[in-house]
Amino acid sequence: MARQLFTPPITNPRFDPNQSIRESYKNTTSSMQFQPTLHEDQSGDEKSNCDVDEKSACSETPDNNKSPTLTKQEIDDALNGVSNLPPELSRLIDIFIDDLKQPKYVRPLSVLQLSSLFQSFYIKFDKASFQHVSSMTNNGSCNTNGSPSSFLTAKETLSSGLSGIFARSRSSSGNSIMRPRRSSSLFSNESTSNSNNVTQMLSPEEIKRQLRINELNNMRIEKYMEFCERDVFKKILIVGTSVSSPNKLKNFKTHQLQTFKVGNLFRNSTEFTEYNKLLNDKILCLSKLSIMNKINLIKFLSLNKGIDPEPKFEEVKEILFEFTYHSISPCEKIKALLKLHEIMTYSQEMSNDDYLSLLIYYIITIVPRDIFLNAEFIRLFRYKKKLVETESFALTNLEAALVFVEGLTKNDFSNEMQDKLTESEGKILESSISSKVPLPSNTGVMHKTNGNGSGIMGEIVTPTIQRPDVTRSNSYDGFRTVFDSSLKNIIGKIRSYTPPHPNAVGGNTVHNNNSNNNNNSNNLNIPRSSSQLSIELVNRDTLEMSIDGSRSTSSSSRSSASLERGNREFTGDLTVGANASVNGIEKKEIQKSWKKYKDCKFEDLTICELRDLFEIYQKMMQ
Amino acid sequence: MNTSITSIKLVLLGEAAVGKSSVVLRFVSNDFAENKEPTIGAAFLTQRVTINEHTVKFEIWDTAGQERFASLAPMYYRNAQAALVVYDVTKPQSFIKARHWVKELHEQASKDIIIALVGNKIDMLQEDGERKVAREEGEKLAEENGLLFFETSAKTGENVNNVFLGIGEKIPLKNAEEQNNANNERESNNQRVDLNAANNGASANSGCSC
Repeated sequence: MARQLFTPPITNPRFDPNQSIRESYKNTTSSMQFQPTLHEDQSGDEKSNCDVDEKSACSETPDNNKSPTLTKQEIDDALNGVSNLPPELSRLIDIFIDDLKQPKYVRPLSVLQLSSLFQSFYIKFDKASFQHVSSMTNNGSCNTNGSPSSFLTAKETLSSGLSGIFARSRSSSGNSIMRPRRSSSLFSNESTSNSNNVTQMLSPEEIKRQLRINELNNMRIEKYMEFCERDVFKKILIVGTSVSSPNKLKNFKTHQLQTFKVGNLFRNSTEFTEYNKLLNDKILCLSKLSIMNKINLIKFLSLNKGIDPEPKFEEVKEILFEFTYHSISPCEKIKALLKLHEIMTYSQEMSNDDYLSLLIYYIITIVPRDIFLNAEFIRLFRYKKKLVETESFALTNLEAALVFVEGLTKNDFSNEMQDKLTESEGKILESSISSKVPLPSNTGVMHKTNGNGSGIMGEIVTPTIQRPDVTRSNSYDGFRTVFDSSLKNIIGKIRSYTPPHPNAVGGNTVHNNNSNNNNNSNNLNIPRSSSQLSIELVNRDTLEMSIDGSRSTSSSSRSSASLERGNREFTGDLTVGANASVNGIEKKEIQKSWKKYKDCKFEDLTICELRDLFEIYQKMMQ
Repeated sequence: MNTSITSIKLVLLGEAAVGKSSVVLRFVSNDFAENKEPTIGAAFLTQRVTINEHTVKFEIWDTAGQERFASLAPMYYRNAQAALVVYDVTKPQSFIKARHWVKELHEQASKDIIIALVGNKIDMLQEDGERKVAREEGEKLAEENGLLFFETSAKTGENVNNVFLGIGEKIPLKNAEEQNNANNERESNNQRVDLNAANNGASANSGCSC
């Protein structure tokens, strides 16, 4: 049945009605055509892509534009059995946590560096989940005797090939369409070559079945990722964030195991904790002012236009407490935040004009502690692939509310109110927090200005560390490969000097991957920089230096600091681990010769001094 | 055949009570309320539109229009590929504010962000309301700044859909798709249109498209 079709905008000569028109947006006089494309609601129910009368138009849209139809029963059956991670995936979390606990970093990791490690782990875990689910599916459909008939082999191979194509499409927050496809070369578990070279066409039923399997697999993986976040932070809650006793479980009381202090993750980033403390103080101060009727929040926030915050107050309070105190993983916290949005939305018509004011009102009146750190915790530790759409919007709203509060000063209020302020209140409201405690520039950019990047979490320019599944070297080899670039590099590298493992003296490379991280527990308990993080950081420094000569000043000053620090560390390593032949005098000489450049700037060094530095380096290598 | 779906983050800017949310609600509701994805009130809405061979999924972020929240806007339009700057044709002040938003977007938002200037509430002109912002003024501003320009009525639905279709057509979908295909392993975030990376073949189409 033909419908009246439109070609808006009619001024566009490139507009091809045959390509664009799917179905009238409005049956009557609408001037444009929208395709009521497939949407998947949270229960997984599917809507028809187009109605029966639109077959001709719909025929342009192949089936792979939509997810297979899954009933709620099927989804429940598939996911109800998934209540915990499979042991092999769970083991990845254990390895990751153990790895984090190793005393291998030169300095304690900042929260941004930590976040980067977590994001790398999530990606790896996501891939591992995919492989696990794929193998489970393949095993389930395979002939288990290992000698299937040639026909079955062909079928299976084709099926795998199909899986290789379609299984790579992964669901995102219940939306199965917008996912990047995975490379079959990376994830295909079976060879697609077939000795018989049989290519058998799959029937539509088989394709459909495969699509359904893939969709269910995607849902399982989504679930696994949730469990991953949950289990990682539960484990951290148990083992603590201290490096000193990685294998000892502390004796916690039950209630302690239910409360995760996100502040522990930020303790090496004092600007965050300081900012949070000041924000706590400011929120508390504003709350008291409101209680004492020194300020009228309702009026101040223009909430007196038909929005009454009171009916939902207790409910919101409960959720905000859940958000800050009783949830552990970023996933749980963002869920609480979404729930908060849901119940705050009195009607579908509530716009952000009202919403933001209301959120600020609740924050000031309820005073949830450490709400800033909790928001940043989500931003940094939620799997960034999931922090999109509604999650991102909800978090942005919370952050916007907090930025508004931190920027409030007494000048924002009436003169009458300003006169009523006590000295301490006046001090708290004297200026914005961001003017007192600038957050790290990356986060600051995120808060204050616009970035041009494409990713949301990607805006945080943390060191991108491609870690665990590549080997890590404790040997000098890593140095040798980069040594020839320039002497500038050397200075950068010194900071990340990697003392050899006692067992690797003599230049033997020790490949130290995640599976043998436990070996590290036998290592010396001294600061070391064997991690790729350090290497990565140094490489970045090197790159900066080589790209932009103007950076050499700062780099060299950093290097000076590194020299000092490295000197200390190097001495320790020499003494304890590697070179028994180095006597005390030699050590002193090295220290002495090293130190003499500590106050030098790189651009002031002469060729002779550079040569001298080079010789020091060679001594170190010996 | 290309059946990819491209997500476009679209941010709504404009003075309070000019009808930002109403325009979007009109766009996403209408005949297809049953297809609507879970939303957070009218503050976050999504709608899919098929334009040529592409399906565009608009993720629409509402912002608070009050002056006191203006400094928070960058947090919302960060990484936005499109923006709707809405004013009320019966309130000249709202048009002045719209000028400011356009300027700010050009200065601070993504370099190639697609901006549509929307004069809303034209239905009021037929209900004894007086037009305070001439159509020509809006057109001129749009022409000067390379914006799309529309006059709409969220109340009657007039011209509302054209706004989004116009934006959808200007988004460099093809380039975005090529980018995606070139790097299958990238995160879903990156699968969004990167206006900076893409070479927008469509020239700035200023002026009214309706």
